[in-house]
Amino acid sequence: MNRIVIVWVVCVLAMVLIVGRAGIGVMPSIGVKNITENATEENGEALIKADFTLVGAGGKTVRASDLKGKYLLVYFGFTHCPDVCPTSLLVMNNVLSHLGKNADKVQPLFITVDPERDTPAIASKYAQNFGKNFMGLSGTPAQIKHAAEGFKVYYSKVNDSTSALGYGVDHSSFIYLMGPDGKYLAHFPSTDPEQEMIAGLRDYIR
Amino acid sequence: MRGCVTIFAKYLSVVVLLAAGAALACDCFEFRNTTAVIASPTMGSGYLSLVSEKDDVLQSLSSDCCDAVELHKTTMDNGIMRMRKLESLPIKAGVPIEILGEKSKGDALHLMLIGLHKNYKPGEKITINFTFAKEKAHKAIFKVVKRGAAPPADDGMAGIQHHGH
Repeated sequence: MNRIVIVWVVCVLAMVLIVGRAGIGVMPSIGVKNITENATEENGEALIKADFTLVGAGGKTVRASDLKGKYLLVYFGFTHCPDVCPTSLLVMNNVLSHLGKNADKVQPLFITVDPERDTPAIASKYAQNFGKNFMGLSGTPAQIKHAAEGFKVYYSKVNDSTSALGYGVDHSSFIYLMGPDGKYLAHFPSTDPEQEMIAGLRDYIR
Repeated sequence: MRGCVTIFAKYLSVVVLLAAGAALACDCFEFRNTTAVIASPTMGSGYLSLVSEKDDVLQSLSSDCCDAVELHKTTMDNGIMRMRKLESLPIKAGVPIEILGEKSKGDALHLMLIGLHKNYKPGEKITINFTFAKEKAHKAIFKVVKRGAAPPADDGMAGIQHHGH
Protein backbone atom coordinates (compact mmCIF):
# COMPACT_ATOMS: atom_id res chain seq x y z
CA MET A 1 0.00 0.00 0.00
CA ASN A 2 2.80 2.36 1.03
CA ARG A 3 4.67 1.55 -2.16
CA ILE A 4 1.66 2.50 -4.21
CA VAL A 5 1.45 5.84 -2.41
CA ILE A 6 5.17 6.50 -3.00
CA VAL A 7 4.86 5.62 -6.69
CA TRP A 8 1.92 8.01 -6.96
CA VAL A 9 3.81 10.82 -5.24
CA VAL A 10 6.81 10.31 -7.51
CA CYS A 11 4.57 10.32 -10.59
CA VAL A 12 2.79 13.49 -9.52
CA LEU A 13 6.09 15.24 -8.75
CA ALA A 14 7.46 14.20 -12.12
CA MET A 15 4.36 15.55 -13.87
CA VAL A 16 4.64 18.83 -11.99
CA LEU A 17 8.28 19.16 -13.00
CA ILE A 18 7.59 18.36 -16.64
CA VAL A 19 4.62 20.69 -16.88
CA GLY A 20 6.47 23.43 -15.00
CA ARG A 21 9.45 23.14 -17.32
CA ALA A 22 7.31 23.15 -20.44
CA GLY A 23 5.39 26.05 -19.00
CA ILE A 24 8.41 28.33 -19.45
CA GLY A 25 8.14 27.83 -23.16
CA VAL A 26 4.43 27.90 -23.71
CA MET A 27 2.89 29.89 -20.86
CA PRO A 28 4.33 33.37 -20.91
CA SER A 29 1.39 34.54 -18.84
CA ILE A 30 2.54 33.07 -15.57
CA GLY A 31 5.40 34.52 -13.59
CA VAL A 32 6.51 36.91 -16.30
CA LYS A 33 9.32 38.32 -14.23
CA ASN A 34 10.72 34.93 -13.31
CA ILE A 35 10.64 33.83 -16.89
CA THR A 36 12.51 36.88 -18.03
CA GLU A 37 15.05 36.43 -15.27
CA ASN A 38 15.67 32.95 -16.60
CA ALA A 39 15.68 34.32 -20.10
CA THR A 40 19.33 33.75 -20.86
CA GLU A 41 19.76 30.41 -19.14
CA GLU A 42 19.33 27.90 -21.88
CA ASN A 43 22.62 27.62 -23.79
CA GLY A 44 22.98 31.37 -23.50
CA GLU A 45 20.09 31.65 -25.94
CA ALA A 46 17.71 34.41 -24.87
CA LEU A 47 14.10 33.33 -24.63
CA ILE A 48 12.91 36.89 -25.07
CA LYS A 49 13.44 38.01 -28.59
CA ALA A 50 12.46 40.84 -30.87
CA ASP A 51 10.92 38.80 -33.64
CA PHE A 52 8.12 40.63 -35.38
CA THR A 53 6.67 41.84 -38.63
CA LEU A 54 4.26 44.68 -37.86
CA VAL A 55 2.73 47.70 -39.52
CA GLY A 56 3.64 51.30 -38.76
CA ALA A 57 2.78 54.77 -40.00
CA GLY A 58 1.54 54.98 -43.57
CA GLY A 59 0.91 51.23 -43.62
CA LYS A 60 4.63 50.53 -43.83
CA THR A 61 5.79 47.07 -42.82
CA VAL A 62 8.30 47.19 -39.96
CA ARG A 63 10.33 44.10 -39.18
CA ALA A 64 12.56 43.65 -36.15
CA SER A 65 15.43 43.11 -38.60
CA ASP A 66 14.80 46.59 -40.08
CA LEU A 67 15.65 48.10 -36.70
CA LYS A 68 18.94 46.27 -36.13
CA GLY A 69 21.75 48.61 -35.22
CA LYS A 70 19.57 50.47 -32.73
CA TYR A 71 18.75 49.65 -29.17
CA LEU A 72 15.02 49.09 -28.81
CA LEU A 73 12.97 50.29 -25.86
CA VAL A 74 9.69 48.44 -26.19
CA TYR A 75 6.32 48.76 -24.46
CA PHE A 76 3.18 46.77 -25.20
CA GLY A 77 -0.12 48.52 -24.40
CA PHE A 78 -3.27 49.90 -26.03
CA THR A 79 -4.67 53.34 -26.68
CA HIS A 80 -7.90 52.79 -24.71
CA CYS A 81 -5.79 52.41 -21.57
CA PRO A 82 -5.77 55.98 -20.29
CA ASP A 83 -3.61 55.69 -17.20
CA VAL A 84 -0.96 52.96 -17.01
CA CYS A 85 -0.01 52.89 -20.72
CA PRO A 86 0.48 56.63 -21.29
CA THR A 87 2.31 56.90 -17.97
CA SER A 88 4.67 54.12 -19.06
CA LEU A 89 5.34 55.81 -22.40
CA LEU A 90 5.92 59.10 -20.65
CA VAL A 91 8.41 57.35 -18.38
CA MET A 92 10.20 56.00 -21.47
CA ASN A 93 10.47 59.51 -22.84
CA ASN A 94 11.66 60.94 -19.52
CA VAL A 95 14.25 58.21 -19.10
CA LEU A 96 15.58 58.72 -22.63
CA SER A 97 15.90 62.45 -22.02
CA HIS A 98 18.47 61.62 -19.33
CA LEU A 99 20.71 59.64 -21.67
CA GLY A 100 22.03 62.63 -23.58
CA LYS A 101 23.40 61.75 -27.03
CA ASN A 102 23.07 58.06 -26.29
CA ALA A 103 19.31 58.50 -26.61
CA ASP A 104 19.88 58.75 -30.39
CA LYS A 105 20.97 55.12 -30.34
CA VAL A 106 17.56 54.05 -29.04
CA GLN A 107 14.37 53.43 -31.00
CA PRO A 108 11.34 53.64 -28.66
CA LEU A 109 8.52 51.31 -29.74
CA PHE A 110 4.88 51.11 -28.72
CA ILE A 111 3.24 47.87 -29.84
CA THR A 112 -0.52 47.61 -29.42
CA VAL A 113 -2.16 44.59 -27.85
CA ASP A 114 -5.50 45.79 -29.23
CA PRO A 115 -5.18 45.45 -33.01
CA GLU A 116 -8.98 45.52 -33.38
CA ARG A 117 -9.22 49.16 -32.35
CA ASP A 118 -5.67 50.39 -32.76
CA THR A 119 -5.02 50.55 -36.48
CA PRO A 120 -1.42 51.26 -37.54
CA ALA A 121 -2.42 54.91 -38.06
CA ILE A 122 -3.92 55.19 -34.57
CA ALA A 123 -1.03 53.36 -32.88
CA SER A 124 1.56 55.46 -34.66
CA LYS A 125 -0.15 58.79 -34.00
CA TYR A 126 -0.63 57.85 -30.37
CA ALA A 127 3.03 56.90 -29.91
CA GLN A 128 4.21 60.15 -31.41
CA ASN A 129 2.42 62.06 -28.63
CA PHE A 130 5.20 60.86 -26.35
CA GLY A 131 8.20 61.74 -28.50
CA LYS A 132 8.91 62.54 -32.13
CA ASN A 133 10.91 59.37 -32.74
CA PHE A 134 8.43 57.09 -30.93
CA MET A 135 7.18 54.43 -33.32
CA GLY A 136 3.70 52.95 -32.83
CA LEU A 137 3.07 49.56 -34.39
CA SER A 138 0.00 47.46 -35.01
CA GLY A 139 -0.80 44.61 -37.37
CA THR A 140 -3.09 41.67 -37.80
CA PRO A 141 -4.07 39.82 -34.63
CA ALA A 142 -1.71 37.04 -35.72
CA GLN A 143 1.19 39.47 -36.18
CA ILE A 144 0.57 41.01 -32.73
CA LYS A 145 0.36 37.56 -31.17
CA HIS A 146 3.68 36.58 -32.73
CA ALA A 147 5.37 39.79 -31.56
CA ALA A 148 4.01 39.37 -28.01
CA GLU A 149 5.16 35.75 -27.89
CA GLY A 150 8.66 36.88 -28.82
CA PHE A 151 8.76 39.23 -25.85
CA LYS A 152 6.88 36.76 -23.58
CA VAL A 153 4.21 39.41 -23.17
CA TYR A 154 0.90 38.23 -21.80
CA TYR A 155 -2.27 39.90 -23.04
CA SER A 156 -5.90 38.93 -22.89
CA LYS A 157 -9.04 40.60 -24.15
CA VAL A 158 -11.64 40.94 -21.37
CA ASN A 159 -15.21 41.64 -22.42
CA ASP A 160 -17.31 43.98 -20.26
CA SER A 161 -20.78 44.61 -21.64
CA THR A 162 -21.50 47.10 -18.82
CA SER A 163 -18.70 49.42 -19.97
CA ALA A 164 -18.94 51.80 -22.91
CA LEU A 165 -15.54 50.43 -23.89
CA GLY A 166 -17.04 47.00 -24.59
CA TYR A 167 -13.76 45.34 -23.66
CA GLY A 168 -10.38 46.00 -22.14
CA VAL A 169 -7.08 44.22 -22.54
CA ASP A 170 -5.14 42.88 -19.56
CA HIS A 171 -1.46 42.95 -20.40
CA SER A 172 2.09 42.73 -19.06
CA SER A 173 3.36 46.20 -18.29
CA PHE A 174 7.13 45.96 -18.77
CA ILE A 175 9.57 48.12 -20.65
CA TYR A 176 12.06 45.97 -22.57
CA LEU A 177 15.54 46.95 -23.64
CA MET A 178 16.91 45.05 -26.62
CA GLY A 179 20.43 45.39 -27.99
CA PRO A 180 21.45 46.66 -31.44
CA ASP A 181 21.80 42.98 -32.44
CA GLY A 182 18.13 42.46 -31.51
CA LYS A 183 18.99 40.43 -28.42
CA TYR A 184 17.39 40.86 -25.01
CA LEU A 185 19.31 42.99 -22.51
CA ALA A 186 16.95 43.95 -19.70
CA HIS A 187 13.38 44.68 -18.71
CA PHE A 188 11.86 47.00 -16.15
CA PRO A 189 8.41 46.96 -14.57
CA SER A 190 6.73 50.11 -15.89
CA THR A 191 6.13 51.19 -12.29
CA ASP A 192 9.86 51.18 -11.43
CA PRO A 193 11.21 54.54 -10.28
CA GLU A 194 12.63 56.45 -13.24
CA GLN A 195 16.04 56.79 -11.57
CA GLU A 196 16.42 53.00 -11.45
CA MET A 197 15.53 52.73 -15.10
CA ILE A 198 17.96 55.48 -16.05
CA ALA A 199 20.75 53.75 -14.12
CA GLY A 200 19.82 50.44 -15.76
CA LEU A 201 19.87 51.87 -19.27
CA ARG A 202 23.18 53.63 -18.66
CA ASP A 203 24.72 50.26 -17.82
CA TYR A 204 23.84 48.95 -21.26
CA ILE A 205 23.80 51.91 -23.60
CA ARG A 206 27.26 53.37 -23.98
CA MET B 1 -62.84 80.40 -6.87
CA ARG B 2 -61.35 80.87 -3.43
CA GLY B 3 -60.78 77.13 -3.24
CA CYS B 4 -58.89 77.36 -6.50
CA VAL B 5 -56.63 80.12 -5.15
CA THR B 6 -55.95 78.06 -2.01
CA ILE B 7 -55.02 75.00 -4.05
CA PHE B 8 -52.86 77.15 -6.32
CA ALA B 9 -51.17 78.74 -3.29
CA LYS B 10 -50.51 75.31 -1.79
CA TYR B 11 -49.15 74.09 -5.09
CA LEU B 12 -46.97 77.16 -5.39
CA SER B 13 -45.63 76.77 -1.87
CA VAL B 14 -44.73 73.14 -2.60
CA VAL B 15 -42.90 74.22 -5.76
CA VAL B 16 -41.10 76.99 -3.88
CA LEU B 17 -40.14 74.60 -1.11
CA LEU B 18 -38.87 72.04 -3.60
CA ALA B 19 -36.85 74.67 -5.41
CA ALA B 20 -35.45 75.97 -2.13
CA GLY B 21 -34.66 72.41 -1.12
CA ALA B 22 -32.72 71.89 -4.34
CA ALA B 23 -30.86 75.16 -3.97
CA LEU B 24 -30.00 74.41 -0.35
CA ALA B 25 -28.93 70.84 -1.00
CA CYS B 26 -26.04 69.83 1.12
CA ASP B 27 -22.68 71.44 0.78
CA CYS B 28 -21.23 68.14 1.77
CA PHE B 29 -18.80 67.17 -0.98
CA GLU B 30 -15.36 68.48 -1.69
CA PHE B 31 -13.88 67.88 -5.11
CA ARG B 32 -10.18 68.55 -4.73
CA ASN B 33 -7.56 69.06 -7.44
CA THR B 34 -9.76 68.04 -10.33
CA THR B 35 -7.75 67.51 -13.50
CA ALA B 36 -8.29 65.71 -16.79
CA VAL B 37 -5.67 64.34 -19.14
CA ILE B 38 -6.26 63.52 -22.78
CA ALA B 39 -4.79 60.13 -23.65
CA SER B 40 -5.80 59.81 -27.30
CA PRO B 41 -8.17 61.63 -29.69
CA THR B 42 -11.14 59.78 -28.24
CA MET B 43 -10.03 58.93 -24.73
CA GLY B 44 -9.09 60.73 -21.55
CA SER B 45 -8.92 60.30 -17.82
CA GLY B 46 -9.99 62.39 -14.84
CA TYR B 47 -8.34 62.67 -11.44
CA LEU B 48 -9.45 64.11 -8.12
CA SER B 49 -9.72 63.58 -4.40
CA LEU B 50 -13.28 63.37 -3.17
CA VAL B 51 -14.42 63.95 0.39
CA SER B 52 -17.97 63.58 1.64
CA GLU B 53 -19.31 64.78 4.98
CA LYS B 54 -21.65 61.81 5.11
CA ASP B 55 -21.51 58.17 4.16
CA ASP B 56 -22.72 57.87 0.59
CA VAL B 57 -22.24 55.86 -2.58
CA LEU B 58 -21.03 57.22 -5.90
CA GLN B 59 -23.39 55.61 -8.38
CA SER B 60 -22.80 57.11 -11.78
CA LEU B 61 -20.96 59.73 -13.77
CA SER B 62 -21.67 61.66 -16.93
CA SER B 63 -20.45 64.62 -18.93
CA ASP B 64 -21.27 66.52 -22.09
CA CYS B 65 -17.60 66.21 -23.08
CA CYS B 66 -17.88 62.58 -24.11
CA ASP B 67 -20.11 59.58 -24.69
CA ALA B 68 -19.58 58.10 -21.24
CA VAL B 69 -17.70 58.64 -17.99
CA GLU B 70 -16.82 55.57 -15.95
CA LEU B 71 -14.93 54.86 -12.77
CA HIS B 72 -12.14 52.38 -13.44
CA LYS B 73 -9.76 50.55 -11.18
CA THR B 74 -6.42 49.25 -12.35
CA THR B 75 -4.41 46.64 -10.55
CA MET B 76 -0.86 45.44 -11.12
CA ASP B 77 -0.24 41.83 -10.33
CA ASN B 78 3.14 40.32 -11.14
CA GLY B 79 3.65 42.97 -13.81
CA ILE B 80 0.25 42.40 -15.41
CA MET B 81 -2.06 45.40 -15.66
CA ARG B 82 -5.77 44.82 -15.34
CA MET B 83 -8.39 47.55 -15.69
CA ARG B 84 -11.97 47.03 -14.55
CA LYS B 85 -15.04 49.25 -14.43
CA LEU B 86 -16.50 49.82 -10.95
CA GLU B 87 -20.29 49.92 -10.81
CA SER B 88 -20.30 52.06 -7.67
CA LEU B 89 -17.99 53.34 -4.98
CA PRO B 90 -18.92 53.49 -1.29
CA ILE B 91 -17.67 56.65 0.42
CA LYS B 92 -17.06 56.94 4.15
CA ALA B 93 -17.76 60.26 5.82
CA GLY B 94 -14.63 62.37 6.08
CA VAL B 95 -12.33 59.81 4.42
CA PRO B 96 -10.87 61.19 1.18
CA ILE B 97 -11.22 58.94 -1.84
CA GLU B 98 -8.15 59.32 -4.00
CA ILE B 99 -8.94 58.94 -7.66
CA LEU B 100 -5.40 59.68 -8.76
CA GLY B 101 -4.59 56.84 -11.13
CA GLU B 102 -1.14 55.38 -10.62
CA LYS B 103 -0.39 58.00 -7.99
CA SER B 104 -3.20 56.75 -5.73
CA LYS B 105 -2.16 55.40 -2.37
CA GLY B 106 -4.78 52.67 -2.31
CA ASP B 107 -6.52 51.20 -5.32
CA ALA B 108 -5.46 52.92 -8.53
CA LEU B 109 -8.72 54.57 -9.55
CA HIS B 110 -9.36 56.96 -12.41
CA LEU B 111 -12.33 58.41 -14.20
CA MET B 112 -12.37 57.26 -17.77
CA LEU B 113 -13.68 59.72 -20.37
CA ILE B 114 -14.83 57.60 -23.28
CA GLY B 115 -15.57 58.92 -26.75
CA LEU B 116 -14.47 62.55 -26.39
CA HIS B 117 -16.57 64.88 -28.52
CA LYS B 118 -13.70 67.18 -29.42
CA ASN B 119 -9.97 67.52 -29.17
CA TYR B 120 -9.51 69.11 -25.73
CA LYS B 121 -6.38 71.17 -25.17
CA PRO B 122 -4.59 71.91 -21.89
CA GLY B 123 -6.29 74.79 -20.13
CA GLU B 124 -9.80 73.89 -21.28
CA LYS B 125 -12.43 72.84 -18.77
CA ILE B 126 -14.69 69.82 -18.59
CA THR B 127 -17.73 69.50 -16.34
CA ILE B 128 -18.41 66.07 -14.89
CA ASN B 129 -21.69 65.17 -13.19
CA PHE B 130 -21.52 62.90 -10.15
CA THR B 131 -24.62 61.05 -8.98
CA PHE B 132 -24.67 59.80 -5.40
CA ALA B 133 -27.16 57.44 -3.78
CA LYS B 134 -28.20 59.91 -1.07
CA GLU B 135 -27.15 63.35 -2.14
CA LYS B 136 -28.06 62.95 -5.80
CA ALA B 137 -26.42 65.10 -8.47
CA HIS B 138 -23.34 67.26 -8.06
CA LYS B 139 -21.06 68.83 -10.63
CA ALA B 140 -17.33 69.40 -10.62
CA ILE B 141 -15.16 71.23 -13.11
CA PHE B 142 -11.99 69.55 -14.35
CA LYS B 143 -9.14 71.44 -15.94
CA VAL B 144 -7.41 69.71 -18.84
CA VAL B 145 -3.67 69.44 -18.16
CA LYS B 146 -0.71 67.79 -19.87
CA ARG B 147 0.20 64.41 -18.49
CA GLY B 148 3.13 64.71 -16.16
CA ALA B 149 2.48 68.43 -15.79
CA ALA B 150 2.91 70.18 -12.45
CA PRO B 151 0.94 68.68 -9.57
CA PRO B 152 -2.79 69.34 -9.78
CA ALA B 153 -2.67 71.71 -6.82
CA ASP B 154 -0.74 74.12 -9.02
CA ASP B 155 -2.05 73.33 -12.42
CA GLY B 156 -5.52 71.89 -11.98
CA MET B 157 -8.71 73.35 -10.65
CA ALA B 158 -6.70 74.22 -7.60
CA GLY B 159 -7.98 73.60 -4.14
CA ILE B 160 -11.46 72.71 -3.17
CA GLN B 161 -14.72 72.91 -5.04
CA HIS B 162 -17.71 72.49 -2.86
CA HIS B 163 -20.50 70.78 -4.71
CA GLY B 164 -22.05 72.59 -7.62
CA HIS B 165 -25.62 71.84 -8.49
